[in-house]
Amino acid sequence: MPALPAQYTIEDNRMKDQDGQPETQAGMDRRKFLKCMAWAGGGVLWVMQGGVLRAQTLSVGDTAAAVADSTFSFVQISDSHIGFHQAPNPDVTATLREAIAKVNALSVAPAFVVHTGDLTHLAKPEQFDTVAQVTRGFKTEHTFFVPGEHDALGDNGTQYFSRFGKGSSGQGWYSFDYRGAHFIGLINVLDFRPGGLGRLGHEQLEWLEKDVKGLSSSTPIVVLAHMPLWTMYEKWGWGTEDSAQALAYLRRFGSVTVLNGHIHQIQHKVEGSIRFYTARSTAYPIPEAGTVPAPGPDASVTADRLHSLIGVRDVRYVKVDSPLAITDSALN
Amino acid sequence: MKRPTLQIILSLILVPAALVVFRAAAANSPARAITAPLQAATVSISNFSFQPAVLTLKAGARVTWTNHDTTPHTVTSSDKRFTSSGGLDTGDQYSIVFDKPGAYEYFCSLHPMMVGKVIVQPSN
Ligand SMILES: [Cu+2]
Repeated sequence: MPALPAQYTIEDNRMKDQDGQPETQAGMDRRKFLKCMAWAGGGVLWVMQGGVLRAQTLSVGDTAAAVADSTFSFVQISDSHIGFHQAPNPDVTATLREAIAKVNALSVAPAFVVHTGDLTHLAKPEQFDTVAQVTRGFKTEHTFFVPGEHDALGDNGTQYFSRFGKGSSGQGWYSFDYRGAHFIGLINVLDFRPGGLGRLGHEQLEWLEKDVKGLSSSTPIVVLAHMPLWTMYEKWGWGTEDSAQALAYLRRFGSVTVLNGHIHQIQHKVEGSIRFYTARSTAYPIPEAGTVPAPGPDASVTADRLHSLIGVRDVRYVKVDSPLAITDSALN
Repeated sequence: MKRPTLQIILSLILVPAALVVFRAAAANSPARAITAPLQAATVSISNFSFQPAVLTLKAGARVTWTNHDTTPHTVTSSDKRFTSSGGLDTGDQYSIVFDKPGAYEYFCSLHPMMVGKVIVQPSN
């Protein structure tokens, strides 16, 4: 993690109970609506409005209006898998560049970018080199990373942390504040146990408990982690075995948003005040859980369809209690 | 009275087992096919699984894993009793010679739900 400018750590900016929107209004809003969740070019623009995080398409014309009305926005990208070169995407560096170009084309620049892991396919030095070089193409000053299991391949993350985890605490987890919201980068891809799922581990859980202890319950919390923090499909390892403990520390907060990668598709779940989102990949899609024998790249996707699966997705004005209304539109 | 029955059961078990041993050995080292115990075995890594997941062979045998998936996998000892393969990309192979009898459990350190076992029996 790069050294943070002062604005990321200003404690006074944290939203207090009486600050900002009246709590009842914000609470009502949180409960009833997920205003906009969207996807474009393998990236999501997240907009913080009145302490509620919303997602916004990167390519639709009304983005600027939504951003102008917001506290701030940021972009999520995930699973760039630099080093992968097979079907359905022989050039994952090119599609990462396309995603970055989309982000750079936003009329209102996001505050920062988060990458939720699997930067590389095989954690090779030259693959990390490419990630570092290509992500310097973001006009946005800061990119925050959390590692995926592919980034920790062979050395339990040593190389990743020396390059992308600088300044983080413990084994690489971190938190920072940005204009009233508290961001937490968790690591659930180290020290896997045979037969198990993703793991946070005792030390990190203790750190998390302390990290959020002093925060007002009205502080919006955003959690970044590579593997899902809810058990989506155990047979494919889509979950984190000790995530319940982490979520227990977060349940008292009025707004918790958990952003994951790993499964290369958008999935969404609401559990009380906690919203879970998994992101698409900038590289290739993985089929839905259980629809194929194994969770590998969907090689059946033809070149003309690839961009539609790392393309645009809008989800608008959806009641949290009902299934998401998802609208997909292809990039080309 | 019981002995003949036992012999029949044993021969039913042993004959197919011997055939499997012969075929596997013949494929890898024809010169020693007739008398040698299983000297080499292969494990295919495909669809996020080790096939076969359980392998039984004699001490001194070599096991070679080949990754047929487009996703990398590893062969990692569950209790650090043999050296991990590190990342195996598509088509990559990894071999280990098991000299000491015992049960060697392993898994993929990227996808820990992938587990396998090599059972090594004394060579005599
Ligand atoms: Cu694996």
